[in-house]
Formats: sequence, C-alpha cells, structure tokens
Amino acid sequence: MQHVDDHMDDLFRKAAENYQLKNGNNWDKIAPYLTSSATPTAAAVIPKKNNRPWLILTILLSLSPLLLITFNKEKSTPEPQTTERKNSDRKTIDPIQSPANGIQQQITTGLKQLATNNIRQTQTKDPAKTASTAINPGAANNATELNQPIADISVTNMPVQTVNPTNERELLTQTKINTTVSPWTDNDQHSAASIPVKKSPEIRGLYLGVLAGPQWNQVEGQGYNKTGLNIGLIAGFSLNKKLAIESGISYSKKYYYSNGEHFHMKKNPGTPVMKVISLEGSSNVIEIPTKIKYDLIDNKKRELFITAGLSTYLLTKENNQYYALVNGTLQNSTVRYDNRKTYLVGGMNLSAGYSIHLKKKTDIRIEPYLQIPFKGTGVGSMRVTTTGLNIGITRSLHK
Amino acid sequence: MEPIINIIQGCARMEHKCQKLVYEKYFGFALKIVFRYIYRYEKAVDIANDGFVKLFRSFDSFVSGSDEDAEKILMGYIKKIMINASIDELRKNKMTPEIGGIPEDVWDMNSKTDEADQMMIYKDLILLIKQLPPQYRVVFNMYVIDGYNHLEIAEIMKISVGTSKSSLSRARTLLQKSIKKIEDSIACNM
Repeated sequence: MQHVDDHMDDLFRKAAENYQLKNGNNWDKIAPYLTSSATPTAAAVIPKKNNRPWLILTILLSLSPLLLITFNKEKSTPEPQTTERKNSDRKTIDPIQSPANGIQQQITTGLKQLATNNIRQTQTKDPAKTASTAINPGAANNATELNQPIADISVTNMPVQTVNPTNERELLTQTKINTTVSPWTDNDQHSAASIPVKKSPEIRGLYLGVLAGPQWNQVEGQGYNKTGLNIGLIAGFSLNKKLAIESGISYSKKYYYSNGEHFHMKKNPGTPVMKVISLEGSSNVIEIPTKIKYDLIDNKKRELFITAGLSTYLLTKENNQYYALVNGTLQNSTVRYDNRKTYLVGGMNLSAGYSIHLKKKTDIRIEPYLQIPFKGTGVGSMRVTTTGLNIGITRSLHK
Repeated sequence: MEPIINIIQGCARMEHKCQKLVYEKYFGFALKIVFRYIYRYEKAVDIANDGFVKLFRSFDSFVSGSDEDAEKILMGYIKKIMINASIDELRKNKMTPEIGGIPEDVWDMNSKTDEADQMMIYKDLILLIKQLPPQYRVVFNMYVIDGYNHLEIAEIMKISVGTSKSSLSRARTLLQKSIKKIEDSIACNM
C-alpha cells in the first residue's frame, strides 16, 4: 500500500510541477495597492475560531447560580420555574446544488490516454524543488480552549463553640453559621464542648439540574470530526442513599464523517442516482434519556457514581456534504434535511461521574459518557456512536 | 537581466520597477500554487494578486541569503505567502466546497505536440486534486506537493495532527478511487 501511495504522490508532484496554466497577471491591477494599505480583494481575514459552543457553555454555567436562587425562596406556593435555553447555532446551508457539468468529460479525455497506452509514471522520482528551507509557518496561535476548572470548593467547617462548664444553667445562643444549639434545661446535662449533631437529611426526593459539555461522534469507528455540543436539563428522583432514577431532555449538535459504504439512503424514484463516496455532516438531535444512577462511593463531600439507561432521539435537522458520483459525474454537494424523525429507544447510555457536594442540596458533577446506538439514524441510517463529557449542577428539592 | 539580489533589494526599497519585474517573473509560479488550493481560476488570480501585495509590503523583513540562494529563497517565500493566502480564503468561506466545471481556456496547452499528451494527463490530475473537499485538498497539497509535515500543517490550519493525517489518508483514498473508477469506465467502453 505504501509503494502505491508513493507512486501516486510522485504522479501528483510531477503534475503540480509541470502543468501549464494561462498567465493572468495584470500589474496595473495591483500597482495602486502598493502605496496604500488596502488589498485588491477583500482582506483575507482569518475567521475567528467558532467559540460559540464554548460561549454558550460559559454563559450557561455562569447563569446556573441564578437558576438556583429560585430554589432558595421559601414560599407557600412554589414559583413557576423558568429555564433558559439557548438557540442552536443555526447556519444557513445552501440547498442542493445542481449537478456539475463537464468536468468528468475533461478528466476522461486525458486519462483515457493514460489507461489505453498503459502509461505509468515509472520515471525516477525527481526531487521536488520545494525550496521550502526558508519557509517558516506563521506564528502558531494555540487554539483557545474553554478551560473551566471546577471551582475549588471546600465545605466550610462549622466552628465549634466551646463553653466553659459551669454548675449553673447556661444558654447557648445561635451561632453565626445557623447552628442552632438547644438551650440547656434543668434535666439535661450536655458536654460543654459538643454541639448537638443535626439529623441527616431525608434522602428520598426530587432533584433538578442543568448540564452541558462537548461531545464527539463517529460512524462505525471511522474517526471523529468536529467537536459537537450537548446542553440539557436533568431531573432525578433519589430512591435511597445509593440509587436514583434520572431523566431529562437535552439538545445535541453532532458532527460526523463517513465513507459511502456506511451510508444507506433509500432510493426515491425520479431522483438522480447518487453513489456516495464520502460525506461529512451535522445533525441536531433532541434526546430524552432515562437511566438508573448508582452511587459507588458517597460521603458528605463527594460521590462517585455510574449510570446506565436508554435514550429516545428526535432528529430535527440534518445537513450533509456529499462527495459523490451523480449519474456518473463526480461532484460535491451540500444537502439540508428538515424532516423530523423519532427513534424510540434509539440507543444506550453509559456513564461514570464524580460529584462534589457544595452547599446543602447543591451538587456539581462531571460525567464522561458513552452513547451506543441500537439503530441507524438520519437519511443514511448511520449508526453514530457518541462520547462526551457533561458538566452539570443539580439541586435537591427535598428537605 | 539584472541580478536577482539587486531586484530584491529594489523591492525592499519599494521601487515599482523592481516590484514589477518580480511580479511578472513569478506570477505564473504563484498562480499555479494558488490554483491547486482555490477552485475557481478568477478567484485564484485575485488571491495571487493579494499575495503579491502582501509580499511587497513585507519585503523589508525578507532575508535573501547568498547570491546563489537568493532566487530559491525568494521562491520559497512566495510559495509560503501564496499558500497562507489560499488557506485564509478557504477558511473565510468555511471550507465550503464549490462545484461546476473549470473552463478549458484557463489551461495553457500551447506545448509541443509530443508533450501534449503528458500535459493533458497533468491537467487531469490537477483537476482531481481540485475536486477534493477543501480540507482534504489543502492537506494533500501541503503534505504531498509542498513538502510540509503534519505538525506544520496542523499549526497553519489550526487542526490537530490526527486530523491532518486522517484528512491526508481520506484524500488519497478518494484520489485512488477516482482514478480507478475512471480507468474502469474507460475499460468498459473499450
């Protein structure tokens, strides 16, 4: 395989060196610009890296305390809770392009001679005169990364109030950190140095949260494409100290790549016959997971947990960029599909996570996960496996 | 013909006469580089012109080296600027592929008769490169033809080394398939 690659590389190097192009120089066109700061065409500005997904994540995480404030208000009737949902990064994609004309015939004419005369490039490899010794790539700009370390939270220890023992009754006042200490009575004799320990809170109950994070998708193990995004809400119910049931709803933007052999599109009569060689695409998916959460380790400060469950997917939009043979002509085309489709029990979720207990009832969790599809999705019925990392904040509603 | 080192020094002094000499001598070389990256001929001409403007504005920082190496280093410098300008243009358009044919009149086929067949083959191979999806096209051009390694490609294109390698592999697969499909279709017709 390597020698085939080398042979092909030699072929293309020779072609690049020797092919002839019409000379389109026009000094008068650029001369005026050599005395001004403008350029003949619009300045080629390197577009900023698309930081929108990270910006959404940052905004979401920074707004999450505001969401939690609503839980702190003690009222007889609960306030209606509102949540913010960011709109997806909707790009306007060109509709299907008309088929290419002519380029296939151009290629056939020249390579026909290559095939019929059994011309093979067996000439000795000419050293490519790249003159690249003076080439210095532009200054590297490290890709900006969202680097959001989890806040170093430490549970503030409640200071212990020490009281000098006396034979007389003493009243211990309430401490600044809301530690209510029962006043001594005639019948009670407490150790002066200890503070009564509060009862552990009730374990069963509802909790809600938000989560977000990056994800990476691949089709049949062909490798990852761009980083996608997942944002969502979770709702859970703790059955006991170890076990909980979780559900929720989340929005995912998935990016993937595939060879044509893994793309199986239904052939509609009347449409051009298309043989897909490869494609790159993206899809917008709403996911509704249902899973069981089990705490492996759970102490007052942190917990380690695993989850397993099933997910239902609602595919709302798909956008594919095809490199295909259409009626025998090679072409690139971009197609957007807006048909919604639901995949009940479309896949399985597995995850393991680490959670830190912040103030009472609030947890922050980091949870890497894996989604394994049961069936193919989208117009090409491709089985997309997803790995990702969710960072979330949950708040217990029970006492 | 004036020595190249003098022309380079004239360009550093922003002398139009020297700039014009450099432009007219190396425009074809630059355009051939850009045309491998940019699909449309007219756009490639614009990008090449942009590249020359950037070249002449940055000549004061150009180090020509010894007299013997001056031309080689200059061509390398032009190549670097043209490649960067092409990649900037492709990124500005978010690496969106273009479709449609390439007009026949962009090719200069005024060669001797015995080389005409070879020229046609070279032209067709370049067309195959141009038909690749933009990211694969860039990586293939930079690695196979222009001699960059994956680390340099990753740095310039702001992608990972893994992405660069996989793009190259996919580009090669597509090119091999394209060549094979055409040969098969020709064999069927014969």
